[in-house]
Parts: sequence; C-alpha cells; structure tokens
Amino acid sequence: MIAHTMPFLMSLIGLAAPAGDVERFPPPDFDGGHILPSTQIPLPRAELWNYLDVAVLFLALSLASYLVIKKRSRRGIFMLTIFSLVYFGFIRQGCICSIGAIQNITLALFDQTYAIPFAAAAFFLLPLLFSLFFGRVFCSGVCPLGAIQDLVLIKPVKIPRWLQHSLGLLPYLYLGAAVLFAAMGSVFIICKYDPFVAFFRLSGNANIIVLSISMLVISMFVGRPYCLFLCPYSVLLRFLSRFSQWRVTVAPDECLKCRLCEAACPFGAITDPTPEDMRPPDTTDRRRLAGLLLSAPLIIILCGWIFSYAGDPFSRMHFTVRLAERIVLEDSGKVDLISDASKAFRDTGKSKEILFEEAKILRRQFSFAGWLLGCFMGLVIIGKLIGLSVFRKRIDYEADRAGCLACGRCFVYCPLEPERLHECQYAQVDRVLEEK
Amino acid sequence: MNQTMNDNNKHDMRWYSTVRGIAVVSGVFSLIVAGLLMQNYIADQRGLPEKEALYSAKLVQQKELLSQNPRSEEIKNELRGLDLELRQGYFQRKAFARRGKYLLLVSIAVFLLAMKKAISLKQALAMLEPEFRDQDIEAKSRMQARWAVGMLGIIIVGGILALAFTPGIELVSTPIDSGEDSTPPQPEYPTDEEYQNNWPIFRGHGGMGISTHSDAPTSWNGENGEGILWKTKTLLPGNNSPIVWGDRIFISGANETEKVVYCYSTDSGELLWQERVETPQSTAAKDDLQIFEDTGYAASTMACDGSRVYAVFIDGDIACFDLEGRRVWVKNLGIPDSIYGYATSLVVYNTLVLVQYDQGEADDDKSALFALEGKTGQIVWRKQRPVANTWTSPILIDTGAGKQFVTCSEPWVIAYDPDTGDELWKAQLMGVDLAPSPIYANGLVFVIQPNETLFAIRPDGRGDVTETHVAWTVDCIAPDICSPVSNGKLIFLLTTPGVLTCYDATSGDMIWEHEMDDAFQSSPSIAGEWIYLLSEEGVTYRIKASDKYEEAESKSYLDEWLKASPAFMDGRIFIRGDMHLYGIGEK
Repeated sequence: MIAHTMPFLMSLIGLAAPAGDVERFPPPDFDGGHILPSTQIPLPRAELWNYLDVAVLFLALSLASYLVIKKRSRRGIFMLTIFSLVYFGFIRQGCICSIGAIQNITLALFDQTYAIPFAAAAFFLLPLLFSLFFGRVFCSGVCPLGAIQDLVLIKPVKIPRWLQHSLGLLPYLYLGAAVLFAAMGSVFIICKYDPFVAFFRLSGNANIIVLSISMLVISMFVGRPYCLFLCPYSVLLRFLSRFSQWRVTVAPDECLKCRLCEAACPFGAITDPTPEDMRPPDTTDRRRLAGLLLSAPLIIILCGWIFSYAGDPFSRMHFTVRLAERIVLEDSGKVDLISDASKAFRDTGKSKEILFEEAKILRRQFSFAGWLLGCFMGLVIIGKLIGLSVFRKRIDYEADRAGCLACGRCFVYCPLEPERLHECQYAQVDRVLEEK
Repeated sequence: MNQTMNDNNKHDMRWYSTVRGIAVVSGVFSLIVAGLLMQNYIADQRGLPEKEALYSAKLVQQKELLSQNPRSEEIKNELRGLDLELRQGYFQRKAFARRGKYLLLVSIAVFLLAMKKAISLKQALAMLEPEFRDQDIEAKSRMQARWAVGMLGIIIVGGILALAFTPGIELVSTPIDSGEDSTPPQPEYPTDEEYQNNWPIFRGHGGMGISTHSDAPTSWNGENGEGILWKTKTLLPGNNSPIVWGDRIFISGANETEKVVYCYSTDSGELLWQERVETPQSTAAKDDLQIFEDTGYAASTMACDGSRVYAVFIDGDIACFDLEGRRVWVKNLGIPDSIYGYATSLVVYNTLVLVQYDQGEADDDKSALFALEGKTGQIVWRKQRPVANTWTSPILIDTGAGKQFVTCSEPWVIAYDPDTGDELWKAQLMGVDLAPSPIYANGLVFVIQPNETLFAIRPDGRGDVTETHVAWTVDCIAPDICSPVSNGKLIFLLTTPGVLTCYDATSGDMIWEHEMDDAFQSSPSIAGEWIYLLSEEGVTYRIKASDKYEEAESKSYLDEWLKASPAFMDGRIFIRGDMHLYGIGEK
C-alpha cells in the first residue's frame, strides 16, 4: 500500500511543483503609457543573520553530539532532524550549507580576489571539527539534506554490499569535480545540481524538480542515497570520523550478536564480526594484494592521463570557453541564432582573438586539472580495492567508524538498551541522592 | 508481568490505529491537493498556448485595426482588456499554485510522520531472526565488492575517455580559405559611392545640398500634373525633409498624440509601411512637452545607412527600423530642453548614428553628442558639449586628412573625430538662435550667424582656432533659416525674405545679389549647374550656379506650402509639401 501510494504521491507533487513557476509574461508591447518599474536589487543578507546561522549550527552540532554519545536518544535525534530540516532547509532555503561550502573554500584557495564569507568558512569547518571528536553527528540530525531523506525513509531495502562499495566511488568523483570546477572559477556544481534545494525553496526548473522527485522517491526505499552515494562532503566526514575519540557504539558493554542492529540500520553501516573460523590470508590473497600495490602507481598515472584528455570538455563549464566556442559556431554558420552572451560580447568591441587566447589558456589549465582529478580517482579506486583485500578481525557488531551516520536507530533495537537506559537513570538518581 | 505486556500491546495497538487513521486522512487530503494542483498545472500548460494563440491572433487583428484608426480609444481599450484578461488568469493560477504548495507540504509532512510512527509501532511487535555468516560467504562478498568497484572504476574511466573523444571546436577567429577566388569580407556599411547615389540624410550625403545626379527634372506643375510622377497625401504633419534609399522614401510625421515613421515607394508613392514610435519616457512627459508651432513634433530629418533607417523626434525618442519596417530598437535620449523644440537632423557614419543633442544654455552642461551603434542602439561614445540649444544640423566632411563631424551651436563651432568623439578643433564664433547648418566647400567650413555674418574656417587646426583659422568673415544679411549651398567656387546664401547672394568661396568677396519675389524656408540645393530654390508658396526657381545671376525661364509650381528641402535621385526630385509627398520626374 505504502510502496504504491508514496511514489505516486511524490510524482504528483513533482508534477505540480512547476505550476508555480510558469514563465512570466513579457511586458505589454502596445503603447499604453505603462512605465516599467526600475530593477530592484535585493539587499545582501544582514551580517547578524550569518552569525545567527553559525550559532545555530554550533548549537545543533553540540546537541547532536550529546544526543548521540551521551543521551543515546533516537527520539531526540529525530526531533533535531525536524528542526534542522525546518531551519536550515525551509527557512534558510538550503543556503549556505556545509556541502556547498567546499566550493567556497576551494575558490578562496585558488582565487586571491575572492573573500570567503565567515559563515561559509564556519559551515565548512564546524562539522569537520565535530566529526573529528564525535563522528558524523552532522549527518545524524543537522544536515538538512540528510534530514529530508531520513524523514521520507519508510520501507528501506537492504543494498547489497558489493553495490554499496562500488557506488561509494561516486562521492569521490563528485568531490573531485566540484573542487576542479570551483578552483577554475567556472561553476559551483554542488549548488547547481543540489537535488533538494527545489523542495526547500518550493521552486525550481523542470530538470531539478524531476531530479529532486527521483531522489526523494529513491529515499523512501534506500536509506539516504544522496548521503551514501553522492555527497562530496561525506568523503571528508568519513575520513575524519575514523579518528573520532567518542563515537556511536551499538553495544558499549556487551554484544549479544543478535544482528538486530544490523537489521535496524538502513544505511548498511553496521560491520559484522569476522567468522570465528576465519582462515589467515593464503597465497592468492597475498598475491592479489601485492599485485594491487605494485600496479597502484600505474593505475594512478593511467587515470590521470585519460582524465587530462577530457580537459576540453571540462573547460566548457567555464563561461569564457563556452562563449569562445559559441562565437566560433556562430561565425562559421553552424548555429543560426546569436546568443545573448555572444551579442553582449560583440557589443563590447573586444577582440575575438583575445577571447580565444584566454579560452585556450583555460583549456590547458583544465587539462592539467584533469590530470590531478584522474590521479585522485585512480588513487581512490586502487585504495578501495586494496581496502577490500585486507583482512581485519572484528569481534562484535559495530557501527562502521566512517560509514555510520549516527542516526541512533541501532540503539533502539539493541535488546540490552532498555537495561542500559534504566541503569543510567538509576545512576542519575544515585548521583542526586549522593549530592543531597 | 504478562498483564503489563498485554497492557502495553493494547496501548500500542490503539496508537497504531490512531496514527494509521491520521496517515490515511492526511494521505487522502494530500492526494486531493496534489490532484487540484495537477489540474491547475495541466490546465495552465494545455490552455495557455491556445489562449496565447487566440490572444496573439486577436492582438494582431486589433493592432492592424489600430494602425488604420490610430486614434480609436475603443480599439486601444480592447487591446488593454485582452492583455489584462490573460494576465489576471496567469496570476490567479500562480497564486493558486503557491497556496497549494504550502498546503501540500504540510499535509505530506503529517502523512510521513504518521506513516513512520505507524510502521515503527508495527515493527516493534515483530521479532527478527538473527543470521550468521561463515568464512566462504565473507570471502565471496569481498570478491563481489572488488569486482564491482573495479567495474565501476572502469565505467568511470571509460566515460571520461568517451568524453575526451567528443568532437572539439577549434578556436580560430576567421575561416581559413586559401582559394584564389576568395572574396573580401563585405563591410557592414555602404561605400561613399552608394551614399552619393542615394539621399541618406538631410540635404543628401554629407549634408551639403548637392546632388551627384545632373539630370534632375526642370519643370513641373502641380495644378495640371505636368512632370508629376505621383502625389501622395501625408498622414501626419512634419517639417523634416525626405530621405531616399534605393526605391524607398522615408519621412516622419507626428502630432500631440503619436509619432510615426513612413516608408513610400519611389516609383508609385505607395505607402509601403508605417510604424509608430513611443517610449515610456516620452509617454510620461507628453503632457509637459512645450511645442513651438513652427517647429512641430517631427522637425528632424531621418537618416539611412542602407540597412536601417533612424528617426528622432521632438521628445527625444529615437527609433531604428529595418527597410522592411521591422523595429530594431527604440530609446529615449531624455526630454530635450529646447526653446523652439528639438529640430537637429541625424547623420550616419560607418556603423554609427550620430546625434547632436544640444539643449538648454551653454553653461547648463546638458548638451551632448551621441554615437549610437546602428544595429543595437547602444552608445558607442558620448561627449558632453559646452553649447546651448540649436536648430542647425551637423555635417560630415572629408578634409583629405580624415573625416570630421562638424557641429554648429552657440557659442562654438566644434569638429569631432567621428570614430572616437575626440574634439579636433573649435571656434567661438556663434551667437543665439542658430538654424542654418554649416557646409564644407573649397577646403573651408562655412557657418552662418543669422542676419549678421558668414564665417569661413579652415578645418586643419587643433584646439581653439578662433583666432587662427578663420579664413575670412563677411558681415551681411545672412540667412536665418536656410542653409547655404556651394559648387566649390561660389557660395550662395538665401534669406527667408528672398535675398539670394553669391560670394567667392575663396576670398569671401560678394559676386552678386538678387532679390527674389518670394519667401523661402527650404534650403537651396544644387543639381548639375542649377541651384533649386523652393519657395514657401510652392514655386521652384532654378538659378544658374555661376558668377552671374541667371534664372531659368521656366518656373515649377506646386499648389502647396513648402518648408522641407528636396531629395534628388537619378532623374527625380522628391518634395514634401505641407499636405503631400511628391515624386517629380518623367520616368
């Protein structure tokens, strides 16, 4: 029933959403004496609000850490999720967000003329700082993108491990591309293709609406697909949370190995204990690992070389290159219409040769950036393969340090959790009595 | 214990029923809202094109009717009603969609929360069976994961490889063509020869009043139609003179309610198209506009660069149309502060339209010179001018050392580089109320202070040449309206009361003087060896451009008041009268 109703309903919303964005009419073209109003430029958001946003983020991260590590309260995390969705999502309309702030940081590093806003820097750094100490508490109930996916998750299906591992490459690719395009000053792809901002703003073009609906429909059956298989910020959070001192523990005291936590986790973030009769790595395993390690430099260089050839297509994301190519097409008669950008350029009287020279320089820079992106992806691929070829012994069912989104569902399903909470309450009463 | 568990189960079951009910109600409500939004959206998508088509058809029809009855308030109101109807519908649908979205958002949120709670209550009642993996399953799982990662890695790299092989675009500015028969690129503007073969601005190419065609008609009579090729009634008044390009004549007309550009056929006098000109700025200033009756609303002569025609009006509206009457651009230069009304004509130069926009007093800092790009109307350069309002028109001269754009206003005669707007030279010679335009002949620029003086200036100076480059000065009864004309050796002045004077263009010596029995506002022109003088009462005199006064025996007549200057083409003259446009000639 649910499985059939929800997709239909969400599809209807998706189709209905553009109703509010019907193209505007042109001004009247007859002479009625109508005076067109002058263009209004909205004032920048008051600085005070930026500080407030940062303060709210800090408080939300602190509260999330408390609820996950100390309180172990799924209900509390759930309420925080709703708050974050409302505040960071619908009130702040998804901007600025920590995920997109990657691009601001990158641009600030590569463009000396760009002054990064304080809020952008804080939104980028604070969640990373918290993940270094408390794991991915940002994902648990503070990120609005995670929140909206979490709230629509109704009937999660289990994603096969092989698929989860392979799709796990995509966030690295997305991160690399986002950094590349931001560093080149061409486009902020994370913001441009944000699949949920259309919901937060109740507006958007048809392509984004379709993307948003698709992502939300998938989110009803797959736990946080964007977080697991796309989010570029998750790459950084995963890395830092491996070093977190305090983090989610399913069973801090005793594990019954009932696997209820694994069943409860919709994100596949519970790692199994290795079989007791696990044999040590044999010759085949060792050869495989050695082969991967030896071939790593070759794979990295090969990927870099191949990616460098995509410099020209990558460079089309940059306005200058796009404009130069458009002008060539127009001049050669391969396109009929002169675009607005081309017309504006031609009206400036600027030399086309200068534009083409700038575009050629950019193409070379993109080619070099392609090298770097390719090497990065080669490193990720080979790193994943090596990681899957190394055997580690695990005793209990544990929350994966990197993959756990700290949602707290596993707490609820652990058979020993009521007892822990009960003891915790007694301990609190004892402490109060002692104080008295 | 069991009793407590049963009580809890019953409690959960009651909650389960409640939240399930909420989920069902909110779900149904969401579906209804979504359905209504869908209906609104589909109606919008399906209905709008039809309505737009209907609207456009009606609009075109109404526009045609309006062009035939430009003063019809009924048609105007119907047009406005059509527009209002569609706009209201649009904004109603938009408001409906906006309210619906918020309603849907809330109901979906309630539905999701209720569903989640219901599922969690139901799942709390179920027990999960634990499973354990053995070593083989673990090894197999890892192997599958490695293969999957490897395959996706290959897919990513393959995708990038495919992207790298997409066809690129070579960034070269001009197509390479080494063929022997390659033709040079066509310029975007006509050659001097093309300009000379047409009558592109006030008083023809350069603004000198000289026709390159020597076979102009010599005699015509409006009463019996002799020598009259055609005669067409003009629709709106205007003191501007006709301009001609190829087989098309252009004039503008205006009154207190509308401003229109007209295009006629040179062969038949048929009105080929007419287009209205209006901007929000001029409409808003309509009631405040002070009009001097003798100047009228359309005193400035248009200009044509072979591809487009340009017209400027008394309220600062300037418009551009292609030769087929399609509007290219229209803009307002600001309502001019001119005591007799703005009357300066336009000049075209290469890709530019040059607008001398003088207004107010000399120290008001209001006057300016605009160079607009012909095809876009964008300002290419703009120069502030320390001069007062004027009624002269600028000229474009070629000194041999380069083109100069010469303007004449109180108190400065100023020449500019037409490419950049840089000031070349200036002479402080002029007083108030200037109407005769300058001319260039025999290497000298001639300017006239009405009723007082004729100045000859050498145009090879730089900076202020008042004391250094005035070749000669003649105190005389100089024209107050008509511009002078010269055949290179002699210069001819015609006053409004009809005093025609001939001076030596080199020395400034007076050669002869003759009093005509007529009054004149139209500037004289030279075609061949004859000067054509069009009197206010419609008589055309032909005077030989020589050092002796010699009047042709035949006079020509039009039964009409004449103020505008004629346009000369091959074997034809086009004259704008007070009420009609005439095509004169035998062919």
